[in-house]
Amino acid sequence: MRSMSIRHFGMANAIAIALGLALAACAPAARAQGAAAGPAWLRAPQDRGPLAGTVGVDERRAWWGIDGTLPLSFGLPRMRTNAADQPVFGLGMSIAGSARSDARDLRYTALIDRRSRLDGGWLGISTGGNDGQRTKLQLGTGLWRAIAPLEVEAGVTSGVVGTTTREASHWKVIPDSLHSRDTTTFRDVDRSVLSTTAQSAVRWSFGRMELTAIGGLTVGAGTTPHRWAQATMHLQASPRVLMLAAFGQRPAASMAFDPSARPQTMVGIQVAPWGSRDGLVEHSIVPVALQWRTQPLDDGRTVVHMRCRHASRVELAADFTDWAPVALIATGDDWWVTSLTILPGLHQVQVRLDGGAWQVPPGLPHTNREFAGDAGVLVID
Amino acid sequence: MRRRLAWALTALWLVSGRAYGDESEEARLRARLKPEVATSVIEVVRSAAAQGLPTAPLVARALEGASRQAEDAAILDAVRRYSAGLAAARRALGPTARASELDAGAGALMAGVPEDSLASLRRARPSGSLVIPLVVLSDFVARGVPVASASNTVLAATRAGAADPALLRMRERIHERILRGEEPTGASREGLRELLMKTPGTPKERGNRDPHEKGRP
Repeated sequence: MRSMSIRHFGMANAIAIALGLALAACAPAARAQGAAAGPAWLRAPQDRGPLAGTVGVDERRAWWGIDGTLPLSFGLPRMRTNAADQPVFGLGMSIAGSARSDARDLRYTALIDRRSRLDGGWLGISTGGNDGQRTKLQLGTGLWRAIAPLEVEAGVTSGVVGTTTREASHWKVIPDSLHSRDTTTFRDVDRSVLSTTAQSAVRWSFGRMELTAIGGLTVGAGTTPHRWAQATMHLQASPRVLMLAAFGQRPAASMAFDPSARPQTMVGIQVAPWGSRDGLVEHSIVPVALQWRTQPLDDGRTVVHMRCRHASRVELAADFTDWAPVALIATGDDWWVTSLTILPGLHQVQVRLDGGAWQVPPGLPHTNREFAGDAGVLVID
Repeated sequence: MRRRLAWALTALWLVSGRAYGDESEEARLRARLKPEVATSVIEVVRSAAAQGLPTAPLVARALEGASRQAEDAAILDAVRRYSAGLAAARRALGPTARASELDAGAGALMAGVPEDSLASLRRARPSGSLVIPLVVLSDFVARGVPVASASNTVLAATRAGAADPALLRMRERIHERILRGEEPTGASREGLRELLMKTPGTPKERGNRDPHEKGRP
């Protein structure tokens, strides 16, 4: 019966998880430089800062949480935890609480995180947390990979979970000639069982919004295999304020390393007092110029291609436009394009995303301009 | 006789055209600048043309100032200083220097690179284009590499026979190092060391850039 149950409950999820793992492992990494990378909870120390407070309401009650993280960089000398295009080694620790704040609600995690802008992996250990279960110790590992414009993530968390079962004790049954007396008593027995959760997620970022669909399968000794799924939405209202929402269910094991997650449908708001432009805003919200390319045409014009993430307007100003802004046209997949007459020689060019500051196009040599700050140098043969 | 007269008239037309600048450039200046500023800038442009200096960079400076709503005096001052920079670049790079070399040289001079460094670069690459070495030099200075270190790096690479694509690769590597947090002087030194390690044994890396090679920005 149990094996049937496992087959019944696990087949769809097993296929989904296998698909996620296969995608994560085999698909070509496609995220370009400059974009936020990895799960939000994993990049929180770099993006959000060391401390965040969250309040919200879920299906059962109002809740609050405080999440503190301490990123420690080690490995390479002078490595910055948010350096572009570099793997990041970090060790983090978080403590989370909820409305019924007692010792059991504390959660401690330690993580080793290695990532580039294209992919990454993590390994962690967690204890505590009390979302319906007494989690003693959990080990987790996962990997993620960018497949533009999505990120695919897969992970496994396995741990010892304390459960209480009611057992019957038959002291004695004394039959007599007329009656029988049952002296059965019940007692609660604490047991520790091994529980494993395999999960996969697909994440999509657009501007300030990040949508995640996460699902998985939890199996454990003495428990019925449980499949679950949840959709979450994060909206960065400002560098310090994050709006959270979730729809669906997820087990405690899947939240062992994600303090902002909740087991039920919920809405919440998170405030990170030390969120700064160096962190989340730079990586996740501010539009980023990723790639610059020029292509000469036979008629003497030059097609300028530029790849930008999170941009809704891209402009170019250069000496060959008499420094008047020229809007590029979106062609999809983050690419923008325009064609211009550019005479052979040395040219200076700047780009502007969403009306922001003028900047050097990616990859071009810099030169300092008297009025415009740094500009990119373009050589047309 | 007729042929000589035709040649003379053609030469006169060309000289007068150069001496008084490009009419379309003047029209663009008048369209974007206040009349009195335009007149002063056009005088500078005509003077530069008379000296055989490229005028497009001067016009670009003026229009850049107008576009960024700079003050009139600042625009005129910038154009004058850049004209002086172009003249100095020609002194350093020689009378045969091309317009794009003079533009790149003036940019380097304006960034603080001494004329001597430009002259040294010319001696290191007497016949090839110096546009890319000068662009790379200005890039280093703009990224915080001290002028002396930047000059030495580009000069040493050019003397070693590094072609333009190799110089651009070196620029990218140094840029990456600086982004990783390395001190700019050390980053440029390491970038040069990497380039020199690869340059001696690779004949393709030597000599001037093949105009059909890819790798220009």
